[in-house]
Amino acid sequence: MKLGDLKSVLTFAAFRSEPDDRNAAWNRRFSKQRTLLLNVSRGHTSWKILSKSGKITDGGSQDGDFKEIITSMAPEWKAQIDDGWCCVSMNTRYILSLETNVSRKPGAEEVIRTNPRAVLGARYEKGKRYAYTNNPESGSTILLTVDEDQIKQFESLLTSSGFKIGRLCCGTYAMMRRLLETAHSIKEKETNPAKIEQKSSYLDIVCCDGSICAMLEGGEVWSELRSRSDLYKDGDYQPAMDVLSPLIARLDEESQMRFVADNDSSPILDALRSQFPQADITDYSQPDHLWRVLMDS
Amino acid sequence: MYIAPQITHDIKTERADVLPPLPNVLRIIPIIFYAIAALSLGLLGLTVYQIRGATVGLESAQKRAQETQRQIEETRAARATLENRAKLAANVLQWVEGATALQPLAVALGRSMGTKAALTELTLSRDEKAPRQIQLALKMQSADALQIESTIEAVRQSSFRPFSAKQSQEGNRVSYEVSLIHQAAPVPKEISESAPANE
Repeated sequence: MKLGDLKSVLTFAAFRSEPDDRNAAWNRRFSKQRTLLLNVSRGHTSWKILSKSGKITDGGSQDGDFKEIITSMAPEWKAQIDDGWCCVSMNTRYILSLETNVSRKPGAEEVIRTNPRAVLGARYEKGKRYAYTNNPESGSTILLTVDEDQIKQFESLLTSSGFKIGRLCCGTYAMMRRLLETAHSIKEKETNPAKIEQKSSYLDIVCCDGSICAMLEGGEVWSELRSRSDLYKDGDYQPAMDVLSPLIARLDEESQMRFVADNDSSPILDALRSQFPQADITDYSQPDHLWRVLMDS
Repeated sequence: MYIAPQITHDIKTERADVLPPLPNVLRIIPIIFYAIAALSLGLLGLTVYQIRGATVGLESAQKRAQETQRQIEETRAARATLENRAKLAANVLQWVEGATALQPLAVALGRSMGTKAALTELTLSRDEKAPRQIQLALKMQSADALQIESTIEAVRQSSFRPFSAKQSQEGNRVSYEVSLIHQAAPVPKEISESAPANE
């Protein structure tokens, strides 16, 4: 046993999750530290500071290449946080797809990080990193694919600017996962059992800072998923409507849309409602929704 | 369908040496450590406090012992002085007793002789070692058998107590020897050697 191990036990540090421990929630890892939450899209970056008490405080956004933004903003960000830890939503150049027959062996979610071929089989591509969500009732799986070079480029950029990456994730995928967890939680079934029984199909829509992901649920089956990163800009939501239109067209009268955006009162929801006035849309968005997902609250 | 809540995914390049946190139940180890450390410090402090108290008590006891020793010395000195004075007083008393006038005794002995008695010899002697005691030796001729009784009664009335009497008689010649001790003044007690020093 090293002296450092003894020290960490005596200071109780050994009983807290390490900042790099991805299996621990963000607020547990940094309970008394200010951290930076970043959401990086193509040509647009937004950020928030997470206070020591876990409240989302100051933030901002800036247009431009992330490399230039981090060069100019790094000193200001570092002055507002402790020890340089940040959580990054890499909301660009990712692929979300609906797959079938992905391995469901116990521990496969860990294995995919180290040996993705064992989980994905022929779908595995070299130089990619993956995360996935299985449908527990059918063989479908939402698969997130990100280019490893892009991840390393991000890591290099942030590390060279003096930041430490506590988590690197895809905001759109994380929000979709959270939407499914919320919609298919026990609490939701207990509060709205009749509602769930009545609807034959759902369209889950996630809009995150210019990226969109929509998935069609028919009963217990995920039937179709469409995803585009860096698709639309504020004020111009037609590209998003073009993606959603074919899916909405397949909905019947009893179908419902579950919508979630990176923040509440999203203008794209208004655009969606005006475009499809007959649609039954339930908004699951909360204030600072994306940031809340990133900090696991 | 139920999808369990999960911590947000992470696709960063992992560090190989990231360890999970220790179980919370093991927090008892540092807690015990700190409790023992605190207890040890408390005991150390208590020990130091008691050592200081004991040192102060020892010094106080030593001072008291010295003071007591000094008082004993003073008492011994006072006692020696007092004993010297008592000896002196005893000597004076012995001298005074030794100087008791014998004329009244001689007169009383003479007057005690009846008409049929004649005092032939009278000796009064005093021992140097016991000046209070007077050795009386007398010889007389007497036809009265009670003459010696009246002589002894006369001695008693002169404040002398007779003891160790020896008497012999040959016809009318009576020889009588007795030790007398004067009883006029009480003799002061001597201070006992075994008495406590502070008495």
